[in-house]
Amino acid sequence: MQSRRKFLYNSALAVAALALPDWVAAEVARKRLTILHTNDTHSRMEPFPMDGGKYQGLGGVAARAAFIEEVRSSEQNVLLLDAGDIFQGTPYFNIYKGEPEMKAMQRMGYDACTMGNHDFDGGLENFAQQLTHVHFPVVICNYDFIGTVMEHKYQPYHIVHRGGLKIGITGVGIQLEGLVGESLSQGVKYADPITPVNQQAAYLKSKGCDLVICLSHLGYEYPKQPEKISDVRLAAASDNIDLIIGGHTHTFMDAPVVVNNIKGKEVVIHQAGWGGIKMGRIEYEFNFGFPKKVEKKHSNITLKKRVE
Amino acid sequence: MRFHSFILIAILTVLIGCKGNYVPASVTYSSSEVQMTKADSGMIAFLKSYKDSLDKTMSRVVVMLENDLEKKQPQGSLGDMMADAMLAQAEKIYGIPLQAAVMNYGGIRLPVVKAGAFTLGKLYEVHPFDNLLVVMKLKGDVLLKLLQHTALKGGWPVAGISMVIRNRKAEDVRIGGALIREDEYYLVALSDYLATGGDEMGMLKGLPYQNKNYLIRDAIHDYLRDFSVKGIAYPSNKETRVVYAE
Repeated sequence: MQSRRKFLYNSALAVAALALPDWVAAEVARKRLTILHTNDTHSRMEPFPMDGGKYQGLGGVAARAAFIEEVRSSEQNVLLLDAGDIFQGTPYFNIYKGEPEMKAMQRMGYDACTMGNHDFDGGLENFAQQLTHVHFPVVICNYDFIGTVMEHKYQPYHIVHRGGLKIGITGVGIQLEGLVGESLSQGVKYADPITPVNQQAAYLKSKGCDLVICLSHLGYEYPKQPEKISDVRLAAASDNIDLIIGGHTHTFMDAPVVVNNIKGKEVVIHQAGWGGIKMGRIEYEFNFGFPKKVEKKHSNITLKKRVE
Repeated sequence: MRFHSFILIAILTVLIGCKGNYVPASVTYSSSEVQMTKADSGMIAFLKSYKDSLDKTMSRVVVMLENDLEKKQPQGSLGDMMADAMLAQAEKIYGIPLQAAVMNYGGIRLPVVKAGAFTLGKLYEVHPFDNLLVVMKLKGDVLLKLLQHTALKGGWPVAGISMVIRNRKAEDVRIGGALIREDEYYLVALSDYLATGGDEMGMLKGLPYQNKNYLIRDAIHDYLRDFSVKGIAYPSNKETRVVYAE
């Protein structure tokens, strides 16, 4: 007579074999993450004015908030990120010094941001003061603010749990010397981003992150200055980073660019222009995999354009 | 159903026991325009108090513009206006005659300003930075280095200067119509940002400059205001300053 245990065991195997392709695979093994991102919003609180300009009627925090809400109502796992240069560009910043920008981002529910060179335009003290209006972290791993008012106002990485997914976020900033006035960034030390970002990414992967995102204000690419660090160069020199959300060069991209990292694995780079004119959207489909398969699957990523 | 759940848990346990994790399989992308046809009412209400007070200040007309002003390389009418304002206002504020003014191309933050009423709000958009208008006494060789850098970058707004850019190099550089002399000194108006080495102005780093805490935005405002006080529209510059060879 078959024992109860053996019966269960066999049944489990049989059911699993039958069930894995459809409902188990669908419900357990697949997950979806929607990443919405902005960069270089530059104090564009209102839409671009209706003055016949190229971007008239586009952008503005009210429209952006509505856009985000719409995505959140149809997608379960949404991550909202910004790649820096939140400040400077309209009188809102000159008059209110960044307060409405920060408060609006808090209202929209941003999960993290990094900092751009223009976020220093009101000085370190102002930056630190404006950050008291938000509860999401500013993530950057290649700046050192020790001894300044910004010392405890940023972090090298941030981990977000969303719908059973674990997402690691780090960030990199551009060299400030020659870009930001000396008096505005006094005491800030910049380091070449490659080593610190790879350290953070390796740590995040070792902590079991399913996806590692780097928020970058380095700029997409500098064809005239090929030696200058950019997102493309960072991606090629990186390890353990899956996605770079970029900024600084105000690049409107038709499609994300895929660059192989030092181990030949693919890194996706995306940027959403500037001014909050466009909202970048990247959707990841995850399969449940095992370490050996991970290697193979990872270098087999497919890019698809979203059908609106 | 209970049995299904049991199997599910069993499979999950096995999967977790194997230390698997979620692996990105595909990436779908899009980049949507953020249209104001859909606006969040809560956000509009939040912004209102800021906006109302700002609008009052920023809607004031500074001057009427005869033509559209454009940001362009190697030379554009918007940059010309800014460099002219810097030169004229620096002479007034510092009380000395100057030879030239240089503005970094990145200091212009709008691609175009339309003809007609030019408001204070537009001025803030054109030059949002709180940069100061300072004066430097530069030896010809240093000024030439600076101008070579602007040529490398495709041409920056200047006043009192003319040059030809060939293969990203400046040629026939003239100050006030005369060829630049490396051993001569020139008084130049520029921003404190450039004077302290910003925008890769390494050749200026550590050199002395005069500062009267006068904002470049105020210089542009006061320069344009003079036209308006005289009851005339601002006519854009017609002078050729920086050209590309061939």
